[in-house]
Amino acid sequence: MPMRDVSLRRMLATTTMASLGTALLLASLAFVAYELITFRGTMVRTLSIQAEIVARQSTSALVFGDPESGKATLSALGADPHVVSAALFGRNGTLFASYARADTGGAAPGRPRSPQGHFFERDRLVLSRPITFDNAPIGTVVIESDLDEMRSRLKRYAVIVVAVLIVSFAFAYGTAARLQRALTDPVLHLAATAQAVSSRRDYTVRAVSDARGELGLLVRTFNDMLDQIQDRDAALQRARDDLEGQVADRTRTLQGEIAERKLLEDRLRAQNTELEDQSRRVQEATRLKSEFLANMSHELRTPLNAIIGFAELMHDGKVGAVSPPHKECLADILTSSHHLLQLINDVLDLSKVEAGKMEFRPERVEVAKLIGEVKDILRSLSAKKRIELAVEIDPALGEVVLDPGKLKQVLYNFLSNALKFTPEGGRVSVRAHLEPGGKFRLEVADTGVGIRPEDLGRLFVEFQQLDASASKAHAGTGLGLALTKRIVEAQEGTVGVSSEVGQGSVFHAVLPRLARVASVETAAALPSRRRAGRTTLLIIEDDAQERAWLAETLSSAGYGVEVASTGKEAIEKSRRRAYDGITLDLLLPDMGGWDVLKAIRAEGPNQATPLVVVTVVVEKGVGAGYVIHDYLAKPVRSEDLLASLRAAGLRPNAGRPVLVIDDDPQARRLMETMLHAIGYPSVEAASAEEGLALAAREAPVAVILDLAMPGMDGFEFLEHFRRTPAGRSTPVIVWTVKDLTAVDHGRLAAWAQAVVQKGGTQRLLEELRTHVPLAADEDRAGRAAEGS
Amino acid sequence: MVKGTPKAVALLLLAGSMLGAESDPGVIGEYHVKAAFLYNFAKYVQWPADAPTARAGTFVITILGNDPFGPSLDEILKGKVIDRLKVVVRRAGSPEDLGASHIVFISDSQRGQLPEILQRLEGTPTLTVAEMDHFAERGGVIRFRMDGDRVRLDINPGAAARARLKISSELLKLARIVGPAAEG
Repeated sequence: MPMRDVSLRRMLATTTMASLGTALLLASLAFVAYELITFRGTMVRTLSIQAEIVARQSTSALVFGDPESGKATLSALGADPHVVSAALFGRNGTLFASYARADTGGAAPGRPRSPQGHFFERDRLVLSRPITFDNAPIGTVVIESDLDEMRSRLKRYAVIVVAVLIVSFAFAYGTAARLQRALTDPVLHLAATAQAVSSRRDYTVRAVSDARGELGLLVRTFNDMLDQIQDRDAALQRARDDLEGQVADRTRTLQGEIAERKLLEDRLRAQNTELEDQSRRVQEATRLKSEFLANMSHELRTPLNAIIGFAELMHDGKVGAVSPPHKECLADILTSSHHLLQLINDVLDLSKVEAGKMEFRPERVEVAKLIGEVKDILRSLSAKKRIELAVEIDPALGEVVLDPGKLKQVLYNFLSNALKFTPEGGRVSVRAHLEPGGKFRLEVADTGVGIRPEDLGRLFVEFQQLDASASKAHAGTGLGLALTKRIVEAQEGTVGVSSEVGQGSVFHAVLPRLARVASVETAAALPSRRRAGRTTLLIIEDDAQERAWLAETLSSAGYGVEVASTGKEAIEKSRRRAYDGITLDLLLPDMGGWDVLKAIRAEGPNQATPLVVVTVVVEKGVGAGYVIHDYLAKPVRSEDLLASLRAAGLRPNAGRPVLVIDDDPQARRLMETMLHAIGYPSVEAASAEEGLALAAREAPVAVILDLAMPGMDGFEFLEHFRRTPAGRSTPVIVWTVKDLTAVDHGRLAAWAQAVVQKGGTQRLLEELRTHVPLAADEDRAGRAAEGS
Repeated sequence: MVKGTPKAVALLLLAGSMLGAESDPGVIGEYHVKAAFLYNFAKYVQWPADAPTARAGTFVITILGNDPFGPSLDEILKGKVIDRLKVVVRRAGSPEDLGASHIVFISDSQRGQLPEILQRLEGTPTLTVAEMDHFAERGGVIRFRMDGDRVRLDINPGAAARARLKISSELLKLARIVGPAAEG
C-alpha cells in the first residue's frame, strides 16, 4: 500500500519503527563487527603467544633431532580446548612433530605457506611462527585453532541484539504511541470534525483540543473559521428571511398596485379609444375645414382674378377706349373686387392664424421702402381725402429682419384704418423707432374721430365694428385689426391703441427687430435662382482678334456676352455670377485650359453651366470627367458655333414668346390680352404637360405659371422644366391663388424668379418687366456688352 | 618382483628426500651429526667467566685421540663464533697434549687412559664428551649413545657441576641423566 493511502497514525508508527529499527540494527551490526574484529585480533595474539612458547621450547628438540621432545612440548597445547592441531616442521618443511586434538582424528596441519603469519579458514585460524636457533631459522611451528569460541560469541551477540531490538521496539512503540496520540488525536479529531461539518452542513460543531503550539493554532483557526462561516450563515439566513418577507410584502403591494393599475389602464384604454375617436373626428373636421378653405380661396379667387384683371384692362383702356362714366363704373368694380379679395384673404389668414398654420418667412426689410410701398397702395385713398401722410423713421432703427408681407399687412391695416376714420384734410403719420429689448415700434397716429375708452377693448376683436353706421360709412371687413393683432402676436409682438374722442387715435405694434429665421432653406443649391434675363455667355479667349470675332458673332445672334482674356480672369468671373454658357479656349497665357475648367467646375455657380471648348488643339480624352457639351476646332464657322450653343439649350432672347400655363381659361385669356397689350407675343398651355411640350418647341423667353392644376401641378412642371436645356435659365413667374406654405416658398425660391398672388395683373407685369427686358432694353444691354 | 617394486621405489625416494636434512643422522652420517652436536652443546652450556681459554679470545674444541669426524667438524665449525669467541679445533694425540679447552672430545682410542684423562681435566671448566660405554657414569659429562640410528645423549650433571658448567634444562630434558646427582 503506498504511504499516502495509509492513515496518519499508521504512517507515524511505521516511520518511527522503521527509523528506530534501522538505527538499532546498524548500531548492533557495527558493535558485533567491532567485537568480532577485536576478538579475532585477540585470538591471533593468544595463539601467537602459544606458538612463540612452543617455538622456544621446541628449539632444542629440533636442534638435537628429538621429535618425542617436540611432541611433548606440543601436547601441552592440549590445555587449550580450541587448539585443533599443531605441528613442528623442520627447516625444509619436513614434519618433525605433531599434535592433534583427540576428536579430530589425528590430522596434522599442512605445511605452512609462510614461516610467519596467520589466516582464517572457514572454521579455523591457522597461525605459524618460525623457530630460530643461533639466529637462523631451523623450523616452523604451526597451530590450528577452531573458531568455536567466536561462533558461540556471535551467537550470544545475536541473541543480545535481538533482545535489544525487541525490548527497544516494545519500549519505542509504547512511547511513540503515547507521543503520537498527542499529535494524531487533535489532527484526527480535526479531520472528524471537518467531516462532520461537511457531511451534515452543521457549522455549530467545534473541534476540541488542549493542544498547544501549531496543532493548537490549527484547531483554534479551524474553529474561528467555523465561527465565521456560522456567523455568515446566520447573517445570510436572516437576510434571506428578511428578503423573503420583503419580497412577500412587495409582492402583495405590487399585486395590489397591478390590480389598481389594470383598472386604471382599462379606464384609460377606454378613454383613449374615446379620445382617439374624438381626435380622429376632430382631425377629419380640421382637414375638411382646411380643404374647404383652400378650395374656397381657390374657387373664389380664380374668378375674382379674372374680374379684376379684365376690369383693370378695360379701366386702363387696353381693350379700347372707355367713356368717363364707364371708367367710373369700372373703378367701382375694381374697388369692390379688391375689397372682396381683401375680405377673402383676411378670412383665410384669420383661420390660418387660429389654426396656428400661419407661416412667417423673415428676411431683411428696408422699413422706409416698405412704408413707401404701403403708402403707394393707399395713395389714391389719401389723395381723395386730401389727408397729409407723414413718415418718421428713427435713424437708429438699423436692421430689421421680419416677414415683409406680414409687416406690410400690419401697416396696411393700421394705415387704411386711420385713413378711413380721418376726416378730409386731416393728418396721418407713420412712425418707426427703436424700442428697448431688441424690438421696434411701428405707430400710426391719426387726427380722426377717436375711440371711446369703453370701446377700446372691443377694437381688436373679430367682426366687432364700433357701430353699424360707421361700418357702412367706412367700408371695412371688421377683420383687419383682429387679424393684425393675431399676426403681431404670432410673431411674439404686441399691439395697442390709445385714443381720445375727437382728438384722434394712435395704433401701435411692437415687434422683435430680428425675428428668428425659419429653418426652411430658401437658397437651395439647384442651378436655379439666377438673375434670368438675357442669355449671357462667358467667352474665355486670350487672342484679341478671336475674342472680338466671338463677341460679335454671339451678340449678333442675340446673346449677351462677357469676355475673359486669361484663366485667372475667367475663374474670377465664373465665381461672381452664373452664366448661361461658356466658351473655353484651351491655350491660355497663364494657365492650362483644363485647369481653368477644373476650377470652374470645382466650385461657384457655374459647376453645371454648358461649356463649349473652342480651340486649335482638340484632345477629347483629356477632358474626360468634366461636363463638356461640345468641342469645336479653330477656325470655327459661325453656323457651327451657334448650332452647338443651340444644341446645349442656349438660345438668344429676341423674338421668343412668353409661355402662359394655367388651367383657368379666363386667366389665360387675361394674360394673352395683357401681354399682347404690352407687346409680348405669348403662347398658352392649359396644363403642365402641354406647357412642357410648348416650352421645348418655342423656347419661351419667360414662363407665367399657375400652381394648382389638375394632373401635373406647377411644382412638378418646374422640376421637369429646370432639367431641360431650354428650361435651365428661363425666368419663371409663378402666378397663383394658392396659399403657399413655407415648404412651397422654399421650393419656389430655388426654381422660380418671382411669386405673384393672383388678383390683378399689375404686380405680375412689374415682375415680368424685371426679368424679361423689353426689346429696347435688350438692345441697350447688347451694346453695353460689346463695349466692354 | 611385481610386489616388491613400489616399496623399493618408496624407500629410494625417501632416502633421496632426506639427503639434504642436516639433522638426520641416519642418512647424513653419524659423525656429521655428532660434530654438529659438539657445536650445539656450546649453546646450551654456560662456561664460567674465568675459563682460561676465554682470555685468549678463542673457543677451543679439542679432539683427543683418533679423530672420528673426518672433515665434518672442520666444515661445520669453520668461521663459527660462540659468545664472541672464535671457534678453534685442536687435535691432541695424548693426554699430555691437552691444553685448555672448552670442549674435549675423547676418542674411543683413548679408552685405556680415560681415568688419567679425567683426572687430568678434573677441576677445569671443560665439557668432556665421548662415545664410550658408561662414560657419563665414569665421570664424563656427555656421552653420545646410539639408539638405533639416532644419536642420543647421556649427561652426568654431577660431573658438569664439578667442572662448573651450567647445562641448560633444555638440553637436560633431551638426555638421559646418569650418575648420582649428589656426587656433583
